[in-house]
Amino acid sequence: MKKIGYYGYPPDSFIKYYKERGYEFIDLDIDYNKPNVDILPKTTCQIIKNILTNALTYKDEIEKIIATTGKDKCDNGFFVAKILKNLGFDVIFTENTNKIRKETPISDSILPLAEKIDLIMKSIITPISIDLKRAENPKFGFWGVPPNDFSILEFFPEDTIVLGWVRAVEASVPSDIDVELYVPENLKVVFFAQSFCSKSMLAKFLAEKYNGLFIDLDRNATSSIKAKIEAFIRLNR
Amino acid sequence: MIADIGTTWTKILDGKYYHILLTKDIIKEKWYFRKATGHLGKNFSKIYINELEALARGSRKLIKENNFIVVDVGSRDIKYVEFKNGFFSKLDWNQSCGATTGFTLELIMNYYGLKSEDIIVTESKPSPITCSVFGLEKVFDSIINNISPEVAIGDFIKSLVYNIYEFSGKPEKIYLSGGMCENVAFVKALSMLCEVFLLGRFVLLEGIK
Repeated sequence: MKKIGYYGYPPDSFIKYYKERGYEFIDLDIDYNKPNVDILPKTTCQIIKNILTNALTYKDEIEKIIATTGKDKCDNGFFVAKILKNLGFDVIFTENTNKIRKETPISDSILPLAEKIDLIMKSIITPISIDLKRAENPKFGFWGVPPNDFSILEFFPEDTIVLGWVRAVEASVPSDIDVELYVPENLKVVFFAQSFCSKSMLAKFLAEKYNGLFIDLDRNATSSIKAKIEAFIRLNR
Repeated sequence: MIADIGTTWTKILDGKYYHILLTKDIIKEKWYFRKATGHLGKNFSKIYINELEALARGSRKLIKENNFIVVDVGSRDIKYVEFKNGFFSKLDWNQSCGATTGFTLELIMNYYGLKSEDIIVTESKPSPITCSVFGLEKVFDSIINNISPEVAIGDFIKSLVYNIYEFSGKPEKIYLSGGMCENVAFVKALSMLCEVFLLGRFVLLEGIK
């Protein structure tokens, strides 16, 4: 089967076009536990390192890469697309500028947080249709992008609301900063960003503004990162 | 028996008696506690409560104020908890830039055979250092340039203390927990920046009682 790599949330039209032509999609954002390739500086966000590492690991299988290169991803998404192009990949430069917002039933549902985020990210390629129970009185929120290490998500109760870029993805508007910045009042929120990602500016600022907890992690969560989240949840219950 | 099993020292409450033992002996002798917190608490107890939660609950019990900031400076890290209007408000834990603060201080003072009472804390402006390990370089550099170890280590402590003060949000008042309560030079340096109240080494134990 023909394979196509992608990262971020490419425009639906590109996904539809290549799906209809029988391509299998590989999400290059995900950490498949391959050793990082030594091309980028160590102070690069792990997700960007994943993109390059995965592309080079699966080079013989991937025919093309759909790169998201605008406000829907980040500056480094554009730079890594340029690097991939230089390395000989057939890179399609895209920007998802969709402004028509959809509902966010998964973000607002009762499910383990890791499962929610996984479902949302998988729904980019395959629409999800399952019965979901809405969280009626949520107390906690998780703001940010899908973390490289999902183990930090295990401390959150199942009615935790998904916020930030992941929520914007479910709403089909990954470049909509207003959706990304939305934080309901009276929610205790963990604001997460990957280390060295420019979104950490937003995460830190919002954590101060809403009296939440700012967390950043590189590849794997340390015990102190986990303890901070665990204590934040337990002390706010 | 309950314990706060830190990197270097283990604080134990046995009935109504408090003890402090070397953690390396606890590991060697395979002690096992009913309840524990601390760096190695998970491996040596039936019930484990993480250090930040223990610090928050312990300080809440000990401090009779509604608004306060407590900072625990241990061998390898710095923990911070803030309460507002009687409720938990904020927390943080610095293992990277706060790395080995207590451990490094103990190491360098032992190396020069100095007690904390011997250290000279001057009114000088603290040098910017990112963490204690990098700060050590400045200590040795100062000593090469004929500054006494007592003053060089005093300057080093001032810089560490300034980092902790910044990490805590530059408050007017800090409740200090952990081994550094017994380091008079450290307490003096911190007192130059804000009001300091000493809680001692058993706050985390209080939190898991």
